[in-house]
Amino acid sequence: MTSTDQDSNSTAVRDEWLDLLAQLTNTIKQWVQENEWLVAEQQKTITEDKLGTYTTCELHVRSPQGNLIVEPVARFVAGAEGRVDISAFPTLHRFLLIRKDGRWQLRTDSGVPWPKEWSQTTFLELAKHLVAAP
Amino acid sequence: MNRSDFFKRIRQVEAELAAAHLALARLDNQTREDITILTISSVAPNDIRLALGKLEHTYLVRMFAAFEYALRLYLMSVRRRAVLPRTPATHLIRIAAGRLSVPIDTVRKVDEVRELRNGFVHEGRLDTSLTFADCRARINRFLGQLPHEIPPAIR
Repeated sequence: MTSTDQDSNSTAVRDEWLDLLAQLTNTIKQWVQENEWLVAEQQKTITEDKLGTYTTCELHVRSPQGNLIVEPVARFVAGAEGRVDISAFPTLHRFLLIRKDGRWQLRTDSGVPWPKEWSQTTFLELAKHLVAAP
Repeated sequence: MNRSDFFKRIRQVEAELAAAHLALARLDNQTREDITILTISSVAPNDIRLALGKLEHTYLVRMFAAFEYALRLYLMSVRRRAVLPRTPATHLIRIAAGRLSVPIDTVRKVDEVRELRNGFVHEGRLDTSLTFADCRARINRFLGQLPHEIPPAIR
């Protein structure tokens, strides 16, 4: 593969990843707004060896019980095709949302698969538990 | 300096703990299967297990240092001083808590983390009443009271 081929492939992977992140953040924004929670976007710059530097956004969610940050981490992670962290603020208790087999899946902070499917109900439940954790 | 920089530092310490844990656990496993991989080093199998057993406490020391650093920078900023006299952590916590109106329960919980750290540093005590994640959450609750932006102290 020539370096031009590699560059165009990297661009395609990066664009696909950015599309996925945009879809994810839009979905989460919709979920939290339906629940009448406040949400704000903040730009985040990520640098990855294979993709270079790109800009995406993280979400800052304010629920009645506390605050959450939904933060894209990287496209290239071991054993998955992308990772986004969902952390309570300020404790930084965290769940990992990983992209695998074409869908989003939840893991505990130590990597144990979460038994529930990624959905609005699961997200809202997790959010409540995360911010309530001591 | 932004408050978020302090959180990033603490998250980074935690990420390095996870990396060190993974590396040591794998090395421990490998040496159980093939002790000869240690023959060219002065490391004994027991050293690996001890390091593994104390890893969270070792990284707690680093995390607490990052916490103290954040408090020092904050106090230097509000007092407009380029340096802060050597102040024990317990005083730093109290002074910062007073300035920031940190809830008493948050201060008490951070004090328990400080005591756990002291027990390990000074006496080698491996108090397991709190996990690393517990300590991180307690420290971060305190740091969450800092202002978003901390202007640099006058130099």
